[in-house]
Amino acid sequence: MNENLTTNPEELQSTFSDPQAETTEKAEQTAQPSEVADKNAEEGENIPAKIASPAVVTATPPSPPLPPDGKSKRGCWSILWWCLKAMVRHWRITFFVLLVALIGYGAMVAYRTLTNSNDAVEKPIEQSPEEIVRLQAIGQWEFLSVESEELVERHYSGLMSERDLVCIYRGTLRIGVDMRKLPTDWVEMQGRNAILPLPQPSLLDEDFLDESRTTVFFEQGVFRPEERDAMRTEAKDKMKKRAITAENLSIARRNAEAQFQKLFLAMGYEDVVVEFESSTPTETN
Amino acid sequence: MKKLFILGLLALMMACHSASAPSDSPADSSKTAQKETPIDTLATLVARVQQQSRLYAADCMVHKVVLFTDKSQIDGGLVKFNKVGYRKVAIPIDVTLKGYIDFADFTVDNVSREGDLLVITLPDPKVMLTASKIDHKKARQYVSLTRSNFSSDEVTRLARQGVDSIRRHAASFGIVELARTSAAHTLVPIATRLGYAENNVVVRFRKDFNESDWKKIVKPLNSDRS
Repeated sequence: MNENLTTNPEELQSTFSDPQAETTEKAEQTAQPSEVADKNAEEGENIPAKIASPAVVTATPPSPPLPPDGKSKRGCWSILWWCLKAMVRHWRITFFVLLVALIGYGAMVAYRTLTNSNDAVEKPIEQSPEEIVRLQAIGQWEFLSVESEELVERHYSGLMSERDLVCIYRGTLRIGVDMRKLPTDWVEMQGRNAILPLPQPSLLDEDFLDESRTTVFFEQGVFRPEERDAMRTEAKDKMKKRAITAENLSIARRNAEAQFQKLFLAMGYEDVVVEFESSTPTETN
Repeated sequence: MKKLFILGLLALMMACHSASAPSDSPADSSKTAQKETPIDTLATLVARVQQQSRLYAADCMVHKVVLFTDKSQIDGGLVKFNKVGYRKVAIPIDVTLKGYIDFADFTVDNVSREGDLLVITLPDPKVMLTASKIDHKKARQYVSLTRSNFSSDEVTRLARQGVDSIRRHAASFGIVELARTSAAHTLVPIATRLGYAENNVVVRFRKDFNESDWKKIVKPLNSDRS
């Protein structure tokens, strides 16, 4: 206490004047926030008065950029842009995260590839019901069958990937006469001779493809069900074009004539004449 | 360095977009069809033409959903453990079966006249699988991230198992009985046109016995069944 005491009036004045200056400065500074506080108090806001010393500098974290109009609301695009800028600014961290993600994805793909085996489907399937959708009597006389195979392929190439699918479809086309389309008295009698007016032989059933016997020769990439259906339709159309020819229809007609003659003669008719209707435009040469 | 990093990021994004499956919207599919025209370079044909004489008398369509769960394991010799993740598939299939009578060996000996009675003896109807279809749109597969999707070859092989299952149970569908009735309805009008009364036309079927049938029919010597 005695150390603080001085007898020199000039020193006393200087020491008193500096603190006085400081105190006046401080008073001015505190007066300003207090004025602000008074204003806020008048406006009804509860904001505590700040007493900040001019020597203290606080570093505030950078806040996301506000729209140019200065509004407090932040749009999604500005946040996205801020994220992108942060990723580029801290590119080392971003690179590391991407590298880890790539390594993890590669490990997953390698595991799936190494553990994948087509022998798994050789095991029996689970029990499931078999529903009879349709059971009906028909009368289709088949005179010619054509077993056919057709190769259909699709190739798509992108920027860094390719999609390929090559399948071999199999089916049996049956050409004959549908007896249900004939009237009940389709056999014309002349004594003990029979005249049989028959329609032209045609494809008996449009569903002739056995898709369970399809061989997938090569597959790469993912194909949609619509694309697979389109391939199946293309295979059917090609098989029909190749099987339903004038030559095959002629063979079917000859066979039909021979078989009906054999049947009717065996049943007691003396003579059998088979007449076919005029040819339809469905024949292909 | 930053520019290189941005360029690398852009290239990776483009690569991921092109490697992914195309979108499911029909508009996009038509656009991709226009941009990526399919190249059908080769179409081969292996055909077998065969003359037949078959009367398909009954038609049956069977629907089945093939279910399969892959419970395969990784076998390391001493250590065996289940693969991580699950792998299931459900494949709806439609199979068409037809009952037919083969007239290839039909001769005069198959028809006998006994006065006003006309007896037609036909071979027993047989059942044949004529078509099978896999419903790709309604097929569903549930595969975890650590397992691979079912390939087209696997789907086809599973469908074939389903078709074989249907073929094994074909005898219980009633196709043979319906084929017999339908064949009779087809042949009787032909015989009535010849002058026979409908009640005097008999269509019967003769069974072609195979080895397993003979074992049941032929009684062993000195057996209790005699």
